[in-house]
Formats: sequence, C-alpha cells, structure tokens
Amino acid sequence: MDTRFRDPSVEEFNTNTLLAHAAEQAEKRHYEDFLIVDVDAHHYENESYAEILEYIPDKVIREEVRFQGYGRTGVATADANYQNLAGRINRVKKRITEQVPPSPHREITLTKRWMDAMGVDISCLFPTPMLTLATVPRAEVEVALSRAYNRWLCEHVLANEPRIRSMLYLPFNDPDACYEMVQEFGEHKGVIGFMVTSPHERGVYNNAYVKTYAALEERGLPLAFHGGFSWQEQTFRMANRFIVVHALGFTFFNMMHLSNWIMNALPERFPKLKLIWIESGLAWLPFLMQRLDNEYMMRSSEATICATCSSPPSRWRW
Amino acid sequence: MAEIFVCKSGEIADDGVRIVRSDDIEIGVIRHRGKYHAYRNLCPHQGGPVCEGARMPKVLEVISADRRYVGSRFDDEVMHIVCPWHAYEFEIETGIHAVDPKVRLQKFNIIERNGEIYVTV
Repeated sequence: MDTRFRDPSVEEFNTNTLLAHAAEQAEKRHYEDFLIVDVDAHHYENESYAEILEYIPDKVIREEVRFQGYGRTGVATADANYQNLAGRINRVKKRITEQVPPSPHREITLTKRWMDAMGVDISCLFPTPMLTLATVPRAEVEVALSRAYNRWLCEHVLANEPRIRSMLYLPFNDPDACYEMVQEFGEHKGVIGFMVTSPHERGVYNNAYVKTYAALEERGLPLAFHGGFSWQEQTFRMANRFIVVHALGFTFFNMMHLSNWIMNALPERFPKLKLIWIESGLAWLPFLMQRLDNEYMMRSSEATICATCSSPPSRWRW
Repeated sequence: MAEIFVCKSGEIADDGVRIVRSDDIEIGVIRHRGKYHAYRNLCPHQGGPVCEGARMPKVLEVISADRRYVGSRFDDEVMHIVCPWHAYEFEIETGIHAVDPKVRLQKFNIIERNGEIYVTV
C-alpha cells in the first residue's frame, strides 16, 4: 500500500494542488480526446495592476488610480462585495503568493495551470474586478483603465499564448471610445470579439452606438454582454443580503439589455452582428421568450419597426 | 479493512488537518475538540478537495419571539469545513451538509491505539 501524507496548512498555494482533483477527472473522462473551449474564463487583472496602470497615458488619472487601488471594496461602502464569503473561499487571496517561473508572463502561467488541470484547450479570458467598471461615475476613468487593460492584455498575454484569447472591454459609458477600441484592437492577435460588462445604465438602443455595432458587424466580430451585479443599482438597493444581489444581478442586467436590443429591432438593423450573453445561466431565456412574445402581441404599436417581421420576437435571430 | 497510519496522538493541532493518500484515495483527518474525524477528501458537489478548506462555525439567524429578524450569530458548538472550490459547508462532526442532510461526505472510522491514530479504509 502506497501511503503519503500532506499538511495543507503549511503548503504553499499552488493552482495545480487546488485543482489536482480536476486533473484526475480530466484524465478519467479522457478530455484529451476532444476540444474544450472555456468561453468565459476569468483572471484577476488586479494582480497585474502595477503593470496595467503604466499604460494609462493621462498622468493625473494614472496617479489617482495608483493611490486609490483597484477592485472590490469593503463593508464600509455601498458596493461591498462578499463574493468570497468572509474567507470561506480563500484562493483569491492566496494566489497572490503563488510561485511562478520568471517567464512566460505570470498571467499566462497561472491561466495555463488551471486550463491544463481541467482539460481546457482554449480559453476566452475576461477580467474580474473590472466587471463593475461601468458603474464608475467617471467615464474618463472607465476609458483610461479599459484602454490600458486592453493594451496590456494584447501585448503581454494574447500576443504570446495562442491558447488564450479574449473579447476586449468596451467602455460603454463613452460611445465614441467604444468605436475607437474596435478600430484600434479589432485586428489584434487573439482578439475574438468585444465585450460590454452588463451592470450599467446606458441604453443599447442609443444611436451613439450604431457606428460601433456597424464596425463589429463589418469585421465579423461578436459583441458579448457579460453579466455582473451592482448593489448600487436602484433596484438592488432593496436587497439586504449579498446572496440576493449575486443570484439575480447577473441575469437582471442581461435581461434588460436583451429586451432593449430586441424591442428596438437591433437584430433586424444589424443582422450579421452576433451577440453572446455571458454568465447569466439559461433559465431566464424561456421566460423572456414567452414574455416578449405575449407583450408584443398586445403592444405592437410600441415596436412598429419590428412589424416587418412575420414572426414573434422569440423567433428572431438574437 | 486496511488500517492506515495517520499520525501520533496529538500531532495534529486542534482544528488542523492531515491529508492521507493511500493508493488512489485521499482522506482528510481533522482534529476537532480533541477528537479525530476522517472524510474522503472529495466534495460530493463537483469533487473539490473539501478537507483542505477553511473551518468556520455554523451561522444562525436570530429571530425574535414576535418573528422579527434580530441578526446573525455564530454557533460555536457546530464547526463546519468549507470546500475551497464552491463553498459547500459540512459539519465537521457528522460530515453532513449545512442545509441539505442528503448531501454528505464519505466518512471513515478512526482508531486510536497505543498513542497512534489510524484510519480504516
């Protein structure tokens, strides 16, 4: 009998150890026999914060961002985030100590560790703390930080690892900047689309976004709406527990954006623009299909541009 | 049944854990309030290394006699172990999930003999 001992309290944190069981599962299930693409992979871009902010050209904003810090806030603010359950999930804190070789870039090493453990061939990488960046009231900060992140990601990660792709961040509070991002990064290696983080209060129907949608459609690049939550959003201020905000938030914002998208006939106006709705689950889709079909029959005067379609909203391409 | 040596009595600190691997099975031996509890280091949810997770007391909600919410408190009598993958919580003393008794950790017997701790597999 081959017996070995481990004491987890003295072990250094290592993704390979945390995911050892995943690796066993991948081997037993023969994941190597087929392609696995993780279409919603996340990394903690805050760990590379010091590198990213050097890509902010505005020195005033750069220093503000350096001092203020990055990422989730504590209990004394309205936007407290209890994602890690008061320390019950501790890998996010521990991974900062994870040892990596000097090259390739840390982000590549850490991403490939979990990819290899879980049998994932290709991942589409997204930021994590930045999922609430669109709720920041200063649009210029959203633009500065997202442009810096996109540049940093293209240069340090996507250019150097073919298994890692991304859909780059669009700063939705600044429609012109969204268009410029598509122009600037649309042809970069590893860029497979663009992404809007869903917690925000901008209407997807606004004419200011038309040129961005057209630019994406022209390039054959999809537009993704990545679900997220915001406790500061008016409706969610009714919740007194994070579990409610977390359970409903991701889906709530995506439902709103998709409903606006359909009822403003955007599928008809941009028929070749593919949309992806990320991290909201699936159960809301049948609800929305039924609900919009029913509403459309009763309130057709509110969606006259859609009248040319001979089928109900649930049958449209979206 | 095979007996696997885990440690000498007292070698694991209270609320400490030692992971024992024998052939292809991993068992977490947890010492809690002086007693040893052994569970398979495999979360029934999606297979995470549950015995390597944080230990935290059960949380109770306090409701007054007139049905008002008063607050939360820890129940220091019931300690949980929390799977580090997705935070499923299990009572250390029973291996039963915090809110669904149908979900349990696989339990193994502990033998303490001549100052040594063994787990039977």
